[in-house]
Amino acid sequence: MKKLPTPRNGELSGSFALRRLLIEYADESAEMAMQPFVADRVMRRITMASQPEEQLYSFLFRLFRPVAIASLLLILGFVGYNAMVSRSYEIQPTTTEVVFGLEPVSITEAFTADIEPLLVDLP
Amino acid sequence: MAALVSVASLRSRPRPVKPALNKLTDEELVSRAKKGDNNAFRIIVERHQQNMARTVSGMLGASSEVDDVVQEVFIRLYRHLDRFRGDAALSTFLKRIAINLSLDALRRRKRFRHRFLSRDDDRLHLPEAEAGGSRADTFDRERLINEALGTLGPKHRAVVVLRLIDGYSTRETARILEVPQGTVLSRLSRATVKLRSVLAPILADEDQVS
Repeated sequence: MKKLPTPRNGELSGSFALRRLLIEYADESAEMAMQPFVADRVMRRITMASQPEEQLYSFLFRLFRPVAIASLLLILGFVGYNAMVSRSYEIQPTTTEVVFGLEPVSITEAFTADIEPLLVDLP
Repeated sequence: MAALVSVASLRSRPRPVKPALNKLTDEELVSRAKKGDNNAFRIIVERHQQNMARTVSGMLGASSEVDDVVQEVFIRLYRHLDRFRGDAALSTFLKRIAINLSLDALRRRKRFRHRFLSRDDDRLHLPEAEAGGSRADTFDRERLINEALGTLGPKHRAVVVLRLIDGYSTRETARILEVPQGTVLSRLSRATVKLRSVLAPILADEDQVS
C-alpha cells in the first residue's frame, strides 16, 4: 500500500481513507493522461521558441496585435454606423447590405434608367 | 626533459570534475538554467514532472489536457526563470503555476460545456440516486471520484488537491493559493463534507478493507 504524505495539521484526522482514495485517483489519472518523453517535448518547444524564425514570428505577432485589435474595433464601428444608417432606408435591407452599408435597390429601380440628371448638363 | 616532465605532471593533475547535474539542488539548477544551461533545465523538468502531473490530474482528472498543462507549466517556468528568486522552494513556485494553469483549463472547459453541451450532461449520476443503495461496486470507481471532484468549485478543488493529495500544510496551501489560512480551512471543510457524502459508498468499502 502506498505511503501517504504525513498530515501536518490536525484537521485531517479521520480523512485517511479519503486521502488514500484521492491520491490513488490522482496517480492513476496522471499515468493515463501523460504521454511519454515529457522532458524531450518541453525542451523541443523551448529550443524552437529560441530559433530565429520563431523569434521573428513572435516579434511580428507582438507588433501587429495592437493593429489587429484597432482594426477590429474600427470595423465594428463601421458596422454599427452602417446599421444606424440602414434604418432610414425605405426598403428593408438584407443583413449583408446592413453590414457593408449598401443601399438596397428594388428590381424596378434596377431596371429603370435614371438618365435625367445626366441630360440636364447637355447643351 | 623538463618539458616532458611538465606535460606529464599536467596529464596526471586531476581535472576539475563537472558536478553531475542530477546531484545539484533545485536552486543550483535554476541558477545554471538562468545562464542558459538547457541540460540543467531538463533535469528540473525530469525531477518535477511526476509531481506536477499528479497535481494537474487532481485538478483536471484523466483528461488529455493534463499533458498540455504540465508541459505549459515548465514552459512558463522557463520564460519566468528570472522571477524565481529562491524565496520559496522551486516545487512551491511550480505548484502555483500548475494550479493557476489548471484553473484556466477548468474555466475553458466550463465555457466549452456551457456553449456546446446540454445541461443534462452535467448532471451527476450518483449511485444513491439511481439505485437507492450502495451500487458503488458496479460503478466505475474513478469515474465516481471524478464526478465527486467535479461537484466542487475550482477553488475548493485546488485546496483539496494541495492539502489532501499533495500533503501541503494549511500554511503552505494558503501561500500557494495566496489566500488566508482561514479560507483554506473553510474551503477544505466544505469540500471534505461534500466529497464524503458523494463517495460514501466507496469510503465505506475502504474502511472495511483497512
